[in-house]
Amino acid sequence: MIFLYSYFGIGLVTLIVVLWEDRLCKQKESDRLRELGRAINPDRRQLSLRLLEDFVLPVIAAVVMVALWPTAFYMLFRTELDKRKAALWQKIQDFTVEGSYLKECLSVQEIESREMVEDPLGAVPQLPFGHLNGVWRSFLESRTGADEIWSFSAEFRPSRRCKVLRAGYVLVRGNNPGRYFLTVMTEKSRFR
Amino acid sequence: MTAQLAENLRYEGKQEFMCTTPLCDFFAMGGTQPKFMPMNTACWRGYVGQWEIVDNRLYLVGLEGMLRDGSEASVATIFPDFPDRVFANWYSGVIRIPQGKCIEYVHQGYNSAYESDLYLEVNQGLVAEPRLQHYGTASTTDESEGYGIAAMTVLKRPGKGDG
Repeated sequence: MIFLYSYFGIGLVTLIVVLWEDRLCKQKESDRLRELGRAINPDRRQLSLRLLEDFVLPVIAAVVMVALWPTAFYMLFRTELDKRKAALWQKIQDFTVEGSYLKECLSVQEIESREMVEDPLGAVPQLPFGHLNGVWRSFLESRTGADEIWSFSAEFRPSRRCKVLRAGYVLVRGNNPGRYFLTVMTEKSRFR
Repeated sequence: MTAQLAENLRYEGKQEFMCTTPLCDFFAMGGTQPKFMPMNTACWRGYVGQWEIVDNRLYLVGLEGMLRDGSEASVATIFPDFPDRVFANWYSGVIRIPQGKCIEYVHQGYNSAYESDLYLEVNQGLVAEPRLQHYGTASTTDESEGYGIAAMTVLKRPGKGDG
């Protein structure tokens, strides 16, 4: 019995919290917007529809909330998780190098000597970064005298199964990373 | 989006379909990207590449596609100094090779599921040990082996009139 009381007690608390948050949201909403909403929907003038919207549906919703509050928590948890995943994918999409990704400061000569590409079949230019040499040259041309070149590496985990890697070199001016040149751009999913 | 045509890969003496597009990474990393003209809805990228793995190295050895000016694309369009063979040093990722029969067809991208997937991890063009993942057995014996798409819409070519 105590379990039942506890269960419905938590449901009641959940309902109170939801109502409180709804009240806070409505306070932020301007009166003008509310009036506009009412004006757009003329059916709101009918008493039956107003009773349905203002009393019947909220009561049903309240009963469902008290009875099925674990579902509400699960949906809240999933919504939060999906929001964070979407934010992470957006971060990957709009990738920029942050200070925490920086590895070491290198000279152009050091970088080019370590990034020479060779191929036994001669299918790559014998230049730093191989087929990406043109992109590298363009990256170097964008430097100013004050810029340092740092190597960077960033790893993201949008989900348990997926790992996203970005690595390369970035121009740093006064501790601020700017334009970057990618040498590794990969998304690895473990399984389907 | 319609299910997409796979790239072609020659691996260990066999012709396979590859549900990975390493050239897309090259373009995303700043490499020269020609203005491809998609010919049908099953190939929005506008080209189909022919790849080969030799001595654990990934090479682009052919390309078929159309450019927006109506001319045909080839490997030389992207890599003029290497028209016959290009070592994919830019590419790091996982090549997926679907194998066996289709167990669930999804008419979107490369989302269809097959009995097995052969995964080849690639690090800057160098191919590591393969990994085979088995997912199940097709429920019917009517299904044909290997990757395929169910349908596509042919797009109108620029400058071509009706009839």
